[in-house]
Amino acid sequence: MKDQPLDQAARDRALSPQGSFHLEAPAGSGKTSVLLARFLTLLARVETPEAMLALTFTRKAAGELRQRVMDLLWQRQEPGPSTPPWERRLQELADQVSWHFDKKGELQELLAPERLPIMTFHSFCAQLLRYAPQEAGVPLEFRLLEADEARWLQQEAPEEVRRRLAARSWQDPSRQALVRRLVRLNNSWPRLAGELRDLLGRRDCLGEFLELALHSRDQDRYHSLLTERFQLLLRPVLATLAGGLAASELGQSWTAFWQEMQNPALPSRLPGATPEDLTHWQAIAGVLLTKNGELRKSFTPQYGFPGDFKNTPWPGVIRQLPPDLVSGLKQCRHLHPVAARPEEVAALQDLVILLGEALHVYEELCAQRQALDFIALEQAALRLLAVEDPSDLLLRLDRRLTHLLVDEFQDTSEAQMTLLCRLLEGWQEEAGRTLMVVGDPKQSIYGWRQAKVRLFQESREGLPCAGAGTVPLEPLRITANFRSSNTLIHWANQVFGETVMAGATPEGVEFHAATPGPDAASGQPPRLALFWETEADAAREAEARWLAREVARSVAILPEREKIGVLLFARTHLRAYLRAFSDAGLAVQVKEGLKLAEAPEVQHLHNLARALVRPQDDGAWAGALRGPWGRVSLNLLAQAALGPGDLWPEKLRRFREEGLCPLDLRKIIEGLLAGQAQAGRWPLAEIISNFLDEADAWPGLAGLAGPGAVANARAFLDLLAAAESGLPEETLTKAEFNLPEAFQPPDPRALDARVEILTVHGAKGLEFHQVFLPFLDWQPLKNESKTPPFLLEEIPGSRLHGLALARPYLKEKQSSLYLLLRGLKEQRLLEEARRVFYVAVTRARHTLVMSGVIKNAGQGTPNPPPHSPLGWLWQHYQPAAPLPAGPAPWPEPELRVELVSEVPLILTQPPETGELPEPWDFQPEARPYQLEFPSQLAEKTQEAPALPAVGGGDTPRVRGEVTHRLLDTISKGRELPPAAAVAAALRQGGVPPEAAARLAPELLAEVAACRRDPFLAGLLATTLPPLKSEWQLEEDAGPGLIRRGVIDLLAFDGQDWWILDYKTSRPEREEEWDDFIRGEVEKYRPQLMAYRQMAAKAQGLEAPESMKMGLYFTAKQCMIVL
Amino acid sequence: MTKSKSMAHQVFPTSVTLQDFLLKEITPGTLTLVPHQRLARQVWHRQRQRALAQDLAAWEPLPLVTLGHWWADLSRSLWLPEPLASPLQRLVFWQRALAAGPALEGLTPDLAWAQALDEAYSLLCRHRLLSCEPDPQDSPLHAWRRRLTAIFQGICREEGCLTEADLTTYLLRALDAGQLPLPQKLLVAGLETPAPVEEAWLQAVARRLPVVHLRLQGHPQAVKEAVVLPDKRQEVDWAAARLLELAQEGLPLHRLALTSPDLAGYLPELRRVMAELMGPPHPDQGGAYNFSQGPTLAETPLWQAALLPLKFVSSGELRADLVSLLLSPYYRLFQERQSRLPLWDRVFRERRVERGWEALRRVAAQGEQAEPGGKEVLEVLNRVRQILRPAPARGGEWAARLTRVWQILGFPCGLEETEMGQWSRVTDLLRDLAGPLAAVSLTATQFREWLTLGARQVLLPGEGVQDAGLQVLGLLEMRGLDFERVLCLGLNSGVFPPPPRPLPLLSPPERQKVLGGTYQSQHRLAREAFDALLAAAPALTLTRPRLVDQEECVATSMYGGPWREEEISPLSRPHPAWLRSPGVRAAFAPAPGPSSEAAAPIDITLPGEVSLTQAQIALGCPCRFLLEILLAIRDLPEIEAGLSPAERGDRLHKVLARFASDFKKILEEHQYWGDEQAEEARKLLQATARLLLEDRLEDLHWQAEWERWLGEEGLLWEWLRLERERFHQGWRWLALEERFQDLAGAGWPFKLKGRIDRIDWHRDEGLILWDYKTGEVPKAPKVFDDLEEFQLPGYLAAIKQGRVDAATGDAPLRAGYIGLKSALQKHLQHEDFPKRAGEWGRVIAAWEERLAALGRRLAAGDYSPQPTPAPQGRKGGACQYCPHLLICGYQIPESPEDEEEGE
Ligand code: SF4
Repeated sequence: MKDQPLDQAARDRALSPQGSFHLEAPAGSGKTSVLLARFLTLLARVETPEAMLALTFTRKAAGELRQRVMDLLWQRQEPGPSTPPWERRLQELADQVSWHFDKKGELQELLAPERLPIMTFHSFCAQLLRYAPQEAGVPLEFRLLEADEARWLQQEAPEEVRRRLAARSWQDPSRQALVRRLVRLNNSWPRLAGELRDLLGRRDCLGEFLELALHSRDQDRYHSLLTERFQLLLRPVLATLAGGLAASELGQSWTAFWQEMQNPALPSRLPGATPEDLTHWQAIAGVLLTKNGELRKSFTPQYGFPGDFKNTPWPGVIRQLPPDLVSGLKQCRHLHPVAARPEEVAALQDLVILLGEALHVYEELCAQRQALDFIALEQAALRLLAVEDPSDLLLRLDRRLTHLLVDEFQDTSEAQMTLLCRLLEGWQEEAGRTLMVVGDPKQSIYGWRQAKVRLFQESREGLPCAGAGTVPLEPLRITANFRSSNTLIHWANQVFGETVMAGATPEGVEFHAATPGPDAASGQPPRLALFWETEADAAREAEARWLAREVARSVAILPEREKIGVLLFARTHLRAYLRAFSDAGLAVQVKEGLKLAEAPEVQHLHNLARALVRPQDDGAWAGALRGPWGRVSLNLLAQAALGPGDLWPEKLRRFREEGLCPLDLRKIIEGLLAGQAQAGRWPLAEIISNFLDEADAWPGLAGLAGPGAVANARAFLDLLAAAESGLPEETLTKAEFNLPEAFQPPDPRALDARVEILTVHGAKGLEFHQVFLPFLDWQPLKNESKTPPFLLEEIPGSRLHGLALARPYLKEKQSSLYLLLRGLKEQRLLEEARRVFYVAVTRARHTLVMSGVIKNAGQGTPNPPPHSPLGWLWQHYQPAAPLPAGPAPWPEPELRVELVSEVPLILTQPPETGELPEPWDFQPEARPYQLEFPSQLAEKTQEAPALPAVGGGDTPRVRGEVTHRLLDTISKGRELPPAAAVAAALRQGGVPPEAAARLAPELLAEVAACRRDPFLAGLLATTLPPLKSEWQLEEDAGPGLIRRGVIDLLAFDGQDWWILDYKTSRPEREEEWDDFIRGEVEKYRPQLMAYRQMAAKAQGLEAPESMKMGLYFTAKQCMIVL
Repeated sequence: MTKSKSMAHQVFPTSVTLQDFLLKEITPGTLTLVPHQRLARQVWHRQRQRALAQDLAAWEPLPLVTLGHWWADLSRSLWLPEPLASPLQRLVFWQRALAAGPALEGLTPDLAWAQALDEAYSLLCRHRLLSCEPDPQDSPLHAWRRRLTAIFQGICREEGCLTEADLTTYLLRALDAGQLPLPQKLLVAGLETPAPVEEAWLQAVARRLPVVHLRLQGHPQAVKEAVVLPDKRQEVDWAAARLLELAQEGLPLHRLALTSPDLAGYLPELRRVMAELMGPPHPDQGGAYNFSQGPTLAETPLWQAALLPLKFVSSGELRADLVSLLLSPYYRLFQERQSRLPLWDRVFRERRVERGWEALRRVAAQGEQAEPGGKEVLEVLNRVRQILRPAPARGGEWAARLTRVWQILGFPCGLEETEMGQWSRVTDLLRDLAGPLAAVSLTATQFREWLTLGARQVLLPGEGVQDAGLQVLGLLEMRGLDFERVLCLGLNSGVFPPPPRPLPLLSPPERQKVLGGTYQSQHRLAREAFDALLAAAPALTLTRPRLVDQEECVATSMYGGPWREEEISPLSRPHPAWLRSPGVRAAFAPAPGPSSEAAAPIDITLPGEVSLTQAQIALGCPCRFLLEILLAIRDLPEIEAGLSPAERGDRLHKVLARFASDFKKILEEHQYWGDEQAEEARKLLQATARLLLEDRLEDLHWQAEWERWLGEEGLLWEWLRLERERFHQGWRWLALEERFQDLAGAGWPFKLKGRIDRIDWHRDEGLILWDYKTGEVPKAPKVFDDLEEFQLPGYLAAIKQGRVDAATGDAPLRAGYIGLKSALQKHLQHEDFPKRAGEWGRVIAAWEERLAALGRRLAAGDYSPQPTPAPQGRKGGACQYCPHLLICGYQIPESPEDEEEGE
């Protein structure tokens, strides 16, 4: 069928509900659709969605998958004639799912989106742990550390270790280790702190080193561990040499060569691959290579060759040695056969001890916050799944896994792989359970997140799980690329297949060619623009201008709804590109572009925050006066500065009063002083916001960069608000920690822009009509330090990591272990860089345009940077030098290359902004009425509550409440409760038990006496109309005023209406009853008058004065009639 | 469960019909249960309006209570024999149970577990599932929970306290016995899903009197629009604009409401946006908007300030905490001394004191800041520290200590009205805590934990009023309320309904039975809440964000209608609602022309003499000289761990100067530097260093520095070796730390003074002046071509002018640097630029001319920024370490290349 891709059989096979698969799917192959189809296929066969689990690596991927499933299930559209067959298939599968659950009558509930078992590895782990925190040994309600918080803690832990060790005695071994380590690092604490921070962030790779840190101080163990790792590293290097030499002509006629050479240093037989053989290899390298590590061209006696050696066939044989062998020999020249000298072992031990301390503190800090970082999360999940039969555990946690799907499997880390294996334990024994892993090893670009592409490769035939054995998988490969044009697909196949990804190293991946989809357009060949490197940055500026011009041209003819992606290998030249775009008047959307801290408006706001928080910061205050909101002249600033006062707020307060101070400066000073007074009372972001509004500071800020400046300012205020802790100093410190990592928000002017500029990593999973790929001269190793303080790398073929320290500052040579690990690291980075290049070019659907800066080695002979995408292209095309000036096609596959020399600078004016609409009006609303509580009339004069008299509770208040309850009880004709119940009521109010027990009989006696009081007894005895106790009432108290209150007692004694307010208070020790009563009467008169009015109205009495009212003092059983 | 005959149901399609029914139907003797107080208040409000319309002068408010309040009223009328344990009391009991009960691996018996146990207990009680009997199916955790529950109940009994379970038992028993004052009829509004214990109660009541359930079931047609916004930020921006639009259309503000199933998640953003667009919530004229939910007490600055003394004492006596305390606006003692107290921080920073009361006190007591007021403050602080010293004490004692400290420090002072309310909650909390913790022994940290826990549970009222302004309230609070228009935000799946609660302390069968424990029950609860929402207004707007944390989100399954995609970007496209915001308005205003600094000359008296270092600043940039030297605008230094380069350099200078001056005498005596003198030199050097570092050697960084200087392969040994070599070449130390002054020149703005690190003399070679460099040694082109170094020309000029006593005459003269960065050969060297020594004359002349030019400039009052060397590309030039960039306003040209970090 024409509309079926060539790999349709593999796609169909991947849906088999019985099979378990390892699916390799290249860029643009519709991998997500296959995954989706399988998900639906299986979903239509399970009892509940919880029987399945689809794991992704990013929340973005999980969200997209879930969205697509929901769209298919719930927003079904009848397939039309233009619906592609694959979509139609998905729709059918979705129908089957609906039908399957509808049959059970639980469609709505079971297929609710939140029940769809699609989640990231991390959210799955978190979910498990939340159900079983104790078994996993994690805090009960843990949260995941945000990235900035984890960074903060990883920075804080070494600092805290330092502080703690500083407080310990000199003899303390950890303290000594710290001092020794400092000495080794030229007493640079920042370097040591950085080292510990990095190690904490990679502690999941430390394995036995961490074990040692936590449990052993035995130097021999450190030594043997280092030796073991060194040998693991060295052996493959030597084995490659041994194999290479043995296969070469020189190796095959070694004995003859040896006899010819007569050099006692050379081994008589071919050396092997043990560490002891190293010296032999070094001897061979000494003979065959020059000082620089090149293959020797001159074979004179001066270099130890027999006199007529150059006339023998041997030089020719030597020249034939394969390059791999030569580079291996070069590498081994500087190695020492001993893993580490004792001082190296001791130094490593020091570091590991310090790491142990740092880890301890870090865990403590996390525990205080009830938080886990991602490493701790994974490790806890692994612990949890190791406790018993994982399927039992899962069952207990309400999960019965039958089908597992893993997306982006090329990004799996070792820990995640182990987790998968634990989940799969016992699966072989049970039929009907399936696993599918999907990915593309060529797109594995997350090495820095511990993604291990080899896990993908090793799992082709089955998931190699240590405990569970191998979980068999059927390897499948789909090849059709539905995204890119025919030309681009073939271009990538050839360039990457033959050169960039040819000859896989242990860190590399095997390249498999993609095939065009059935509807692929033919397309244009890719282009490459080159710029001669010049002094300073002129070439880069030219490249940027050219890029802006080309992008502008492309935008003009871009088909509707299409987008252009400018992909960056690194952010190194982002600023130059952005400037060129801006000069060209081209709006571009930037994802995580420039740093927020770099924006001048943010620097001013940051400075303002510092000033408001710290009156002692002279510089910040002076800076605040010179902010874009005022730009106070230096002259005025000087006058203010020379005024009296130790602190600037004081100086300004005085300066404000002086005639010299201009009006607009006065406004700013007032704003600043007001802000400072609010610090500590209001959130910092709010204070600054108020300042900006009140001091009319926004126009000045906006003047720096228009809406972009306002957007940045708002982003900074958000960052401050997020850091708010209630204490200004703490808030500021936290915000300052987060600020350097924050990015500027997208430029508001680029909202509708059709050009996006983003990193290749950020572009993964996206596609563009046209892709621009500048900075092809990117050298991934260039920014790597040659001497990082430590190296931690996985040793190929072992799954173990090697750890080595850089030489001490006084030594010249790095250890062998260090050199070997550095080699591994560089190899890994380069292999990943090749994949980054692959990901970049495969984002293009229609056009690919590349550019880069190249060195001119003289007379127009280009010298491409080594180990760079440009270098790889050179390696593939091997173009003739010098380069022609005009555009020229390079074969095969065709690449249109142009050496660009002149790019004029075009400056475009920003478009005029149109007329602004009038802002809407907004008026607050008047209250319909005030609600007044008469009880508050007596309290109005009261001050702020006093400090609590701690220990006895608020006894008078509680006593009053309980007495009122007792009076209510008797008013309702009920019996008084027993003393124990009264004591309980007092305790309920906070009175201590002994005091309550003492007080209860007293209260009962008091109320009993009230009941006996003839006046009250008389009132309580009335029946007609029934008395009202605790009577709730509301009253229209005049225009816009409503009163609400509770009247203690209303009664009619047959003649008069009575209103009573019970008073349980009594005079202080010194006070006379009469004086006290007088005071109370005055205090409560307004309240009682209000009550009387309310009651009279409610009873329909015309004249409220006819009602009698009084305060009834329960302690004295006396009624004071008002 | 069999339903009682007298239990009836009535369904209302809208809240307003339900409220009308209540207003009409409630007769004397009828009690109505409402789901929350807010509904009662809205009905009372309507009752008032009706009463006013009917010209009633006074009326009794309708009896509307929540079930919880009704139970409380009933239990009060019963006079229970024992008090009900308060939530804090219960936590104390749980903590005791945790201490008394068996330990369980993987579990720290902390407050978090006590809270979880209490929550599980309440949940089980509410669902009538509480049982302490062991169950063979139990996991160790669940068996442990049962065991602890038994212990907890034992403690409650022992302490004579009732639990929730006891309360309902009492009430049911009293109901059966006819001891409760019951209404004649009970209406139950909006309680669609009672928990089993509530259900049992209502059933029992229904056996005695008619009970009518009033249910709400709105119609999906009430949804007038359902809108998807790209993210949460835009969703809030859009909703705020929409509300303004509705107000613009004339809808009364109090008839508009905004809600969300995740209101807490939206509150910070909503507060910010509403304030930006509508001003403060409660302006003098009335209400703009009202947040029904305020912050918790723990979130208030007042609370944070209240805990500061305790925090300082119990968490490492950090400088930052002490400074926060000194600057806090709530402490009278400190507020009264704000003109000088903040200076302490400057001194702490300059002396690099990060923590420890003794060290902080020492530093604060020294120097200029220790005026009499300062001493008094220190004494008070010392007393405070003694009061709060973290020796364990009983909770009551802690509360008393803290109160005492507040009294001493004058806390809280200057409270505003809202803060008064907060303060009274603080005092209530302290009182509430003191009771349950009266007998519990706590450390300061534990007491702080309790305080924090308590404060987190105190919910403060919102900032506006309920009867005027837009209403912002939680979804549960919407039940039964009536509005004209309601906006509901955040309607994504996973939020609404939320995922099942993990409830790890409940066994799987228990989880199945409790509300919220399963997908099904969460779904049901969400459905009911949504039905009530649909009834809340004739027109609803639903919104949701498409992306949350980069994750594509799916709409809630509660609403099956179509969603419209919208975008709002107030800074991209002018929006009349958003143009109310001054920031947004400014963004669209035409850009002001570039502001040029008015170049008014600055009239300031220059000092007669400055140091060479200060002159170097002036030559590097006149503006920096103005700010730093003339106006004394100081940067507030950050404390960085490790040794400060300045102190390191200073001490090294001192050690070298002292040693050299002592050893010079020995050399002069012997005129020979043999092995014997070498040994002597080593001893002397070590002794000198020990003497001058004596006060520092406790510090581990100085210990390391000692090793770096004097350990094996130490820097100073290597230096000594080089000096010995030079001695043998005929060089002699002529003078050390040699001072000079009165260095003057034609047109110079001031005279100069300085100090030359060392002057050496050689019979044939003449004099050489040395400057010690503990950092990088400048390269020759910097000194001779770019003329960037000022120190050496100054030294040379001083000699030339005869201002240096030790070196007069006209011997050949040179200058150079002694590099002391490390013992590495490339760092440790005597760099005297032998190839270019002949150029010093030119360098000095240029230097003198530059000073004269500076003189002319300063005389004209021109202090505008002019960094020399000017920054270029990634090189910062004179601005590199200058902290005044934001003051001077100099525009550093942008570098096209950013620093890119490696892996
Ligand atoms: S930042 Fe540069 S221009 Fe500004 S004062 Fe400092 S040195 Fe001068």
